[in-house]
Formats: sequence, structure tokens, C-alpha cells
Amino acid sequence: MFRLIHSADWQLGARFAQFGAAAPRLRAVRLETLRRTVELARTREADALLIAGDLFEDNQVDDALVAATVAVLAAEPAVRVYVLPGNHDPFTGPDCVWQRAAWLKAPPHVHVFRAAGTVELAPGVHLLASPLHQKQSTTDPSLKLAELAAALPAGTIRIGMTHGSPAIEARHKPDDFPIALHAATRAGLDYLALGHWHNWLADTDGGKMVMPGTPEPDNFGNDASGRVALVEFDGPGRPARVQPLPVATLAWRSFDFDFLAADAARATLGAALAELAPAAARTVVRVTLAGTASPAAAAEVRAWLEAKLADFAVHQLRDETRVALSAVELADLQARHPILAQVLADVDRLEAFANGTVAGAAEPGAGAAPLTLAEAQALLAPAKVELAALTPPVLAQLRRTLFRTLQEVAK
Amino acid sequence: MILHAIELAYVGRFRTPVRLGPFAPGLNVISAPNEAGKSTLLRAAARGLFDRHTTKSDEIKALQPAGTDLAPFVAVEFETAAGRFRIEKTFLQTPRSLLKEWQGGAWQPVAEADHADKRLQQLLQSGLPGKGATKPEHWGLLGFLWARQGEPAEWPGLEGAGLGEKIRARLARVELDPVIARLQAQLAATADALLTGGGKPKVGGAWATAEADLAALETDLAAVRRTQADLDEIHRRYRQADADVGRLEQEHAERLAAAGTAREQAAAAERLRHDLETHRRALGPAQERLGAVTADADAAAQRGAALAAARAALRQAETDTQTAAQAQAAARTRLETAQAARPGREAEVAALRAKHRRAQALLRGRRLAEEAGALDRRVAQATALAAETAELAAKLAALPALTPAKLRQLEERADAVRTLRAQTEALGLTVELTPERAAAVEIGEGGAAPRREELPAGETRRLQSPQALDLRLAGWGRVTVRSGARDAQTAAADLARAETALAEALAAAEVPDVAAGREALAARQELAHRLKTKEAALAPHLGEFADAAALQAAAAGAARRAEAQAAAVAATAEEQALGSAEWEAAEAAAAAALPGAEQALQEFGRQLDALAAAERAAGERVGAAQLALERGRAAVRTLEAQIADLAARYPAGLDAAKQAAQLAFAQAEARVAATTLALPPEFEKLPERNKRAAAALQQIADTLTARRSERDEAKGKLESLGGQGLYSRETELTDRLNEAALRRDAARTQAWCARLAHDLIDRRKQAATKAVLTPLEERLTAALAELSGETGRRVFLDEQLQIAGVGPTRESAHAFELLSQGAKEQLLLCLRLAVAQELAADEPQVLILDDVLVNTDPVRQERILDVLGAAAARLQIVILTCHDDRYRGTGTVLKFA
Repeated sequence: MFRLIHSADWQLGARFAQFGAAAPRLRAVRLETLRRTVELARTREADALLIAGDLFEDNQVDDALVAATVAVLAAEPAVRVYVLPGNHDPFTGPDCVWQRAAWLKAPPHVHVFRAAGTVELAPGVHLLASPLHQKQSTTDPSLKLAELAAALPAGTIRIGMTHGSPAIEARHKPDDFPIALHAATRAGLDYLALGHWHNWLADTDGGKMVMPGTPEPDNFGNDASGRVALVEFDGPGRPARVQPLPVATLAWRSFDFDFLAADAARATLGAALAELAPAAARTVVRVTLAGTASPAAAAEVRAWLEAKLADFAVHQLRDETRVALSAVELADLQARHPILAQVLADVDRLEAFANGTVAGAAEPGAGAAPLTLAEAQALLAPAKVELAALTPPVLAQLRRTLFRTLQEVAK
Repeated sequence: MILHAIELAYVGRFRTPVRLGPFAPGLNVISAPNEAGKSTLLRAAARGLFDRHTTKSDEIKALQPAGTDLAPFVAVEFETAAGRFRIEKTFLQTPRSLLKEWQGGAWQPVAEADHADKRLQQLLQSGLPGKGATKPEHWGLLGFLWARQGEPAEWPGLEGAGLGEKIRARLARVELDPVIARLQAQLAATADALLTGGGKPKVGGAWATAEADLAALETDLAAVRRTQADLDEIHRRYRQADADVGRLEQEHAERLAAAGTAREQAAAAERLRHDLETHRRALGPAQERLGAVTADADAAAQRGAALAAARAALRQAETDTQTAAQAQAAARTRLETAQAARPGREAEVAALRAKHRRAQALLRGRRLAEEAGALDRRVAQATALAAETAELAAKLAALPALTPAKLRQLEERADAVRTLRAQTEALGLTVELTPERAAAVEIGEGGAAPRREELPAGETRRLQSPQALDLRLAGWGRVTVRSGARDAQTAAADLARAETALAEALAAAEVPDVAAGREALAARQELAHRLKTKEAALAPHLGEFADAAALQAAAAGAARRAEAQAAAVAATAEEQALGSAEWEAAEAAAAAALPGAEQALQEFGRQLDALAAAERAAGERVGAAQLALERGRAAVRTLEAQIADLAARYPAGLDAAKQAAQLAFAQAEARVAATTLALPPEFEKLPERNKRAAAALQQIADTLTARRSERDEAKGKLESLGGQGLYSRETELTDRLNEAALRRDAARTQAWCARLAHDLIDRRKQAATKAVLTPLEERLTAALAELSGETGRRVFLDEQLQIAGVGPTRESAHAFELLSQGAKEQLLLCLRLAVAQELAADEPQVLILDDVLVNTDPVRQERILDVLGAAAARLQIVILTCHDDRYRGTGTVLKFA
């Protein structure tokens, strides 16, 4: 029996721009996961570890990361590693990541396919690889595998490896290395190790074409990621056994909090977060606040959530609520601070002007004239604020500013 | 607030306690002369109401009576919406503050010391400075409702925060909300920390800092992206160069092979061509050898024949030599014989010649002697004739040299003198003097110098003058004779000139007068005739000689030659005896014989020359024969030597050598033909083709090297740039950029929100203020109309409640600053009244007018009293004046107590 671990799309060095300061942490985690996967290959006594493209996010990642990656892959001499350049890190020549000193000095058990070729992994077991040399192409990279396979003797296990999009209608782009859905059969392969998409896909071409997805999730919603494939071969022509092995370091979870049913949302979210609490250090959480909330209620929920999310590895709190006063709060405000009530009505008018929905906008009340567009523009001009800049978040912030400052000065 | 009473002690001129009050609720008039202390009293009341009791500022010290250190005491009874109060304050040495409230019919202390001050501040809504005494702006509403004496007649500004704003809010019926004020202040602070007034990020603020960070990061990011773009471009160049290198390498290999083939072909052809050249070079010598051998064989044959001929010629020459020698000997013999006969013949001719010459010499001597005799005879005749001729010539020379023409000229001039003299005598003066005895007379004529003439006695001397004569007669005197005729004078002048000319001509002709001239000319003509005759007789004797002397010289010469000839001949007597005919006959005979003898001698000489020539010719023939003999011998020797040389070159014989040369030449020709056949077609183009192939190979090699260099350079750059981790750098910068952008967005949003919130509040407050402008303006307008009696003008306020102007419309209103002082103080009084009335709606208010209407005329004064009287229904008005007459009968008059 021949056993290998198939992985792809490590995307080492990826940006995670939306996570700001937490991005380095998310990047570092991926290398940790790779290290554990190499160990896993050793403990599972895998004969080879395949990396079917996109080990790196880009060819121009820094040397430190390259050196660290090579060091991780070379750490277990018993684990032979076969790396395929993908569309993110294609073999393009002297400037590509595969020509860095770390790769050129890598030990023999770490092999990079800089060109299409065949390696005999074991007697009667051949690995045929078709690396990518560019970032986009309409050519099926598995065609090379068919050529390579034609040169092999019969009666051997043929394992293909390439990188691209299974040509599933409406799921792939024509210039994104489309791979025929019968590519493995066409090339006479026993198994075709693919990489490119970030979620597990193992039912193509009778299960011979396997896309393990990214071993470390990189976005909310990639629920079928965080795995590598353990593949076992009993002999040529016999179907390989494919088993997903979870390797992800971080779990990515996303929740909503709707003020429409604030109590229920609080209960549900509280329970979910409590459930995740033991694994908080290994979880990326995003909570989206939605609905209409009074400043006080929104502030209270934010404070509650900040406390709940503090222990998670990475957390995002997206506030999409609309600040609004209740009738009682508004009446109280009008009674105590009539000018402020008028100003709030003016803010509503500004929002209406910005949205183009002036009709139905709130009136300032107490006989005060509503803010006109010309007045709004005259008001905005000295501050050099464009009406279009008054997005809902800005106006929400304006309302929060009013209320927060009011609270501060009223103390 | 309204006032009820004021008490002072130790204040200014009030060293003893004084009380002013009670104040009426309406109009109060405090009338006193200047310096009575009216204003001092009210200022002290203000200190009591608004200053800390512990204040020791100069303003407080100024309350002390001059030159004392008494502690000023002030007590003020007043009323607000909160009740009726009394504040008592003692300043300086014993500071004390006590606030009392009227409760249950008595004053009840409610606070003291600092508490009293603070409570009082709350009641009066006043403020306090950080330290020192208060100023009117701290006095709350009273600061505006107290029109102070001598202060600028301007309405205090209301645009600022604090009390001004408070008043505005009250006037605008806007609730004075301290929370909103603080809210607005905090918003302003927040906005000001982030924004400039112009809406730009404030330097040092979070927004500007984030923007600066963003700019720096974007610069860095742009640099990274430029490097990335450079990398892409280099990558493109690398791929292009790499593809070119592959193509060029293939072409280079093809060119290399082609160049090798061309080189080999060219080398083979070159070898063949070299062989051909060698064979061709070998063919020449073989041909030359053959030619030389053939020539030598021909030469040997020719020389053999020539040798035979030379030998035959040699034998003939030997024969000719012998014959010539014999002929020469015979000629020499004949010559010698003739030469021996020659002297005899010559002697005969010489004797004949001598005889002939002697006859000729004798005959010449005889002829010379005859010629000398003839000449002597001519000399004698010529000498006589010549003497006669000379004598005649001398005579002729002694005569005047007159010619007939000259004589005619003399005669003409003499005729003219005579004619003129006759005319003169007929026209001029004529004085005839005939002295009795000899005398002298000085004659002056016509202005000329007087001339003296001697007058012999009795001789008449006629004196003529054309016009006047001035005579001095010795012993008698002066006689002056004058004539008036001008023609006589002219004729006298003409006469003088004619006489002068005649005298000159006579002098030239060397004759005294014309008659002598005629005689001289006749003598001269006669002598000339005679001379001519003699000369004609002399001429034949002279012959070819010019004169007699020449003839004599020639005769002498002939005599000398005859003598010389005779001496030379030295004729013998016998010879002398012979006559000329004989001598001539002898000379003729000798002359006749001599040519034949000389001809015979010449013939003999020619014969002798012919013999000599024959002898020489015979000798020459002998020489020629000998020379021919020698030449023949030399030719034979030469030919023999040449034949020997030719034979020596070919030891094996000339024929064998010729055969060998012919064989070698045939073989060389065969080699050339074979090599020519072996050369490839167009072999001569092969070297050029080889050069082209080599050049093409070099070019492709150079291009390949250049492209490899470019590729390697690009590769080096790619390796270098690829190792820079541009993506990671971009990622890091993007992370930081995102973080800075978040900061910027947050700061900007915060700034905008704070600014907008502030401005919205401000706008609402201004809108509320503006809402009451119209009623306030109407109230002011009504008050002004009442004061001025004019109804066509309206008062306009701005949004800060400042008086903008007065006029029929806002646009045509006169600015407040342009109004007269009287109008200004009246308007401000009206404004204060209006404001006080507005404020009094919520709380009783006091309006204090401290001598403010100093520029108001009596008519207006009356109207003001009407206005104040009306306003006093709702306001407490306190008027301080030194003109009690103006307010007489008005309100409550207060006196110091």
C-alpha cells in the first residue's frame, strides 16, 4: 500500500487586509498548520506529502517566510515533500519564489516541480506533475499529465498533480486553468491531486480528482476548508481511499445580532460564544450588529460583546445598526434639550439628502423649519464635507457622537 | 434683579454710612451735582454684588476714602425671581460677606463668606474672573443693562459665549441649556483638535497624523509597486531575451555548421589552387629549360657555321694584307722620287717672282716722283690765287654789313622822321634862340628833367616843343613857353619815337646816316663780285682739296712717298738709266712668265700630293687588311670559345639534354591539366563564401552574446528583485495602510461628526435667535419713532443682535457707526429698554442709566421721559443725573441719606 497526504492552497503570506492588526497573526497561523501537517504526515507514515499549488500567496513573498517554509518542509526527512507551483506562485523564471536560495539549497526529500515531469515515488508508483508557469491560462494543465502518463509502463500506480479549476459549469472561469472533469480518467491516472479552490471537493471523475481546499481557513464561509486528504493506494487500477484530515489551527465563525429581537439575539449569541469559549484562542469570530437601536442600547450591546469577544484569537465587531430614539426618548429629549432634538431631525434630513429620500424625513418639531438642501450644503461647505460623504455609518457616528458627548457633558 | 436699597460706609467720599433707597419699582432719579458721588455709590454697589469679598485688587482699594486704610463696607438690598436678598460685604482689612434673605418680615442670613459670594453669583447669574476684581462682562445681565457714564456709546457684543450668549438666548426665548452649551463646547473642542476652521486636517491632530502616515505609506507602497512593475518589465524582457537566446543558439549552431562546411570547402579548394599554382610555376621552368636547351642547340649550330665562315675570311684577309703591303711600298717609292724633285722647281719660280717684284718697285718709284712734281706745280698756282682772294675778303669784311633790304628799311625810317618832324614843326612850339654871346640854356620840356644845352653866340638854336618849353637862360632868367595844341604834343611824341628807331637802325647798320649806308652798300657789292671771280679761278687748282693748305700738305706727302720708294728700291745706276718704257716692258715680261711657272709648280705639287695620298691609301689598305685579319682571328677565337662553352653546359650532349627537357615539360603540362580538372566549379568564390559564413557566424555569435548578456542581466535583476519579497513588503505596507486608513477614516468621521454636530446646534441656536429678530426690531423701531417723532425709519438688527442700521429698508439703512452721537445713545437706550423689557418677562430687571443722554436735545429729552415712563411700568429704571431739571417731576427722586 502506498500512502500520501495531499494538500494545496496554503497561501502562505496572504494579506487578510480586512483584519488590520490581526493580519500578522492570521498569517503566522498558516505556517504553524503546515508544521503540524508535516508532523501528521510523519505520524501517519505517509510516503509523500503533496502540495498541489499555491504554497505561497505570491511569488514575491519575503525570504524569511520562504526560508521558514522550507525549514518546516525539510524538518522531517522521512517525509518526502513534492511541491507544485500554482497560479499564485507559478514558476515564472529567476524571480519566482522557487528560485530563492532556500529552495535551491533544500534537501533532496523536498522536491519542487519546476517543469512538468514524473517522479517514481516508489517502485510501481509514479507521480506526474504539471506545474503552472503563469497566473492565468485557458489551457487545461492536466493535458500535460496525459502526455507524461503515455510514457509510463503499464501496471503502475499513476498519481497526477496539477493546479486549476475543475470545469464545473458556472463555477469556473475560462481563463482560470480549467481542468476537464474527466482529466484523471483521460490521463489514465489513479488519482489526480488538485489545488486551487479553498473548499473540499472530492467527487469529480469518480472520486479520482480531489481538491482538498485550503488547510487553514482564510475567510468566513469556507466551511469545507481546514483539511488535507489522506490518500491510500492498494494497487494500480484500484480506487484510492481518500480521507479528509482536519488540520486547521483556527476555526472561523460568524454571527449576527439583530436589535429587532435584541433579547433573543443576546441569548443565542451568548450561548454560541459560551460554547466557543474553550476554543476561543483558536477561533476567529465576527459579529455583525444589525437593526435599529437607541444609542444607549447599542452602546450597551457593544460593551457586552467587547467583553465576550476579548478572548478570541481574532474578532471583528461590525456595527451596521441604525441609531434611533424611541418615542419616549425622543419626547424626553425634546423636553430637556429641544435644540438637540431639532439637530437630530436635521441629521435625519442630512441622511435623507444623502440618500435622495427627502420625502418622509423627520420634522424638527416645535414649529422649527426643517433643514433645506441649500442650508445643508451651506452647513457642509465650511467643513469641506461632501453630501455624498455622509454615508449611513458616518451619520450613525454623528448621532452616536451627539449622544455620547451629551452623556459625557451631562455627568 | 431690581434694587431696593444701597448702603455704604468708608467708600470714597462717604466716610460715614450712607443709605440710598428705597428704590421704587419704576422710575428712580438720583440727582446730584457732579462729584457728589452718584456713580461711586453705584460702582460700590456693583462691587458688593459681584466681587469676592476677599478681593484686594486695585479696583477695591479705589473704594477706600482717599488717604485712609478704612475697610469699605457695601450693602445692597435686591430682588430676583428667587426672592428678596441683602448682601453685606466688607473688603480689604476685615473681609466679610453675608447674604441675607427677607423671610417672614425680617432679614435672615442664608450664607456667609465664600458661600455667600457663590450663592450671590448663582442668584445674579454672574461670573468671576480667575483672580482680581470683576469687570462688567462678569456682572450678568446688569453688565448689559447698566449704561455707564463715560463708556463708549456702543452696544456690548453678544457674539461670544457666556453671558452675551445667555442674553441672546433669553432674547430669543431659547432656553439657556448649559448642557447643550457644554455639549457644543466639547464638540467644538473635538472638532478643533482635528480640523482647521477651513475644514482641513489640523496639523498634529489625529486626522492629519493619519493622513501623513497614509501619504508616507502610499509613497512607500507606490515605490514597492513601481519596483513590482519594474520586476514585471524585467521579467518580460527576460522571457523575450530567453526566447531570443534559444532561437539564436539554434541559428548559431546552424551557422556554425555551415561555416565549418564552407571553411572546409574553401580550404580544399585552396589546397588545389595552391597545387595548381605550384604546377603552373613548375611548368614555366620546364618550358624555359626546354627553350634554353633548344636555343643552345640552335646557337651551337649557328656558331659552327659562323666559325667556318670566319676561318675562310681569315685566310682571305691574310692574302689581302700581303697585297696591300706590296702596293704601299711601290707608292712610297714614287713619292720619294717626286719629293726629291720639288726644291728645284720651287727655286725656279721664286727667281721669276723676285724679278717681277723688282720691276714693279722700280716702276712705282718712277710714278711717285712724277706725281709729286705735278702737285708742286698746283701748289704754286693755288697759293697766289688764294692770297688775292683773302685780300678781297678782308676788304669786304671791313665794310658795314648792309644789305639792300636793310638799306631800304633805313630809308623808310628816315622818311618817317622827316615826315613827323615836318608835322611837329607845323603843330608845336618853335623857339629860336640866337644869343649874342655864348650861353647855356636849361631846357625843361613836358615835365622831363631839364637838359642843358650850350648856345654858341649868334647861332640860332631852334627849340621845338609840342606844348611847353621851360628855359632857364643863364644871366637872364626863366622863360616858359606854352602851347595849348594837343596834336602837336602827339606829333612830337611820334617824332621822338621815329627818331629813336632811326637812330637804333643806323647804329645797327654801323652807318651815321642813310647816305653813308647807300655808299657802303655799293662798295660791298663791288668787292663781293671780285672775290667771287678769284675764287672761281682758284678752284681748279685746288681740285679735290679744300684749300691751298690742304693741297700743299698733299704735295708734301707725295714727295715723301717718292723719296721713300726710291730709297727702298735703291735702283742701280743701270736701272736708273733705263726708261720707263723699258721698265714697263721688263715688268710686263716678268708678269707674263710668272703665271706659267707658278702653274707648273702647282701641278707638280698636286702630283706630289697625289703620290702622297696614294702612299697613304696603300698604308690604310694595309692597316685595314691587318685589322680585318685581326678581327677574323678574334671572331674565330670567340666562336670557338662559345662553341666550347655550349658544349661544356651539356656534359651528356645537347641532344640528350634537349630530349630530357622535352620530357619534363610534357610531364608538367600533364600535372597542371589534372589539377585544373580537380578544382570544384566556382572554386574562386569559395573563399568569399567562407568569409561570409564566418562573418554571419560572428554576427550571430555577437548577437547571441549580447542577448545572453541581457538575459543574464535580467536574470540577475530578477533574482535580486525576486528575493526582496515585494509581495510581503506590499502586504506589510497594505496592513499599515489599512490601519492608517482606518485611523484616518475614524478621525475624519469624528472630526466631521463633531463639526457637523456643533454647527447643527449652532445653526439651530442662530435660527431661534433669528426668529425673534423681527419682533425685537419692531419694538426698537417703535421706540425710536416715539423718540424721534419720525415713523418712516426702521431699526434693523443682525443675527448677533447688534444694531445693523437705521433706514427705510435693510439694504438702504444707515450703518450704526455712521449715526450721530445723540442718535447712537438714544438707539442704545431703546435697545437696552427693549432687551430689559424682554428679560423682565421672566424676572424683574433694573435698567441703570448713568448720565447717558448727554447729547440729547430738550425735545428728545421729553420724549425719552415719555418712553421711560411707559417702560417703568414693567422695569425698574435708575437714572443718575446732574441735571435735575431734566427729570423734574419724573419718577421717584432719591437722595443720599
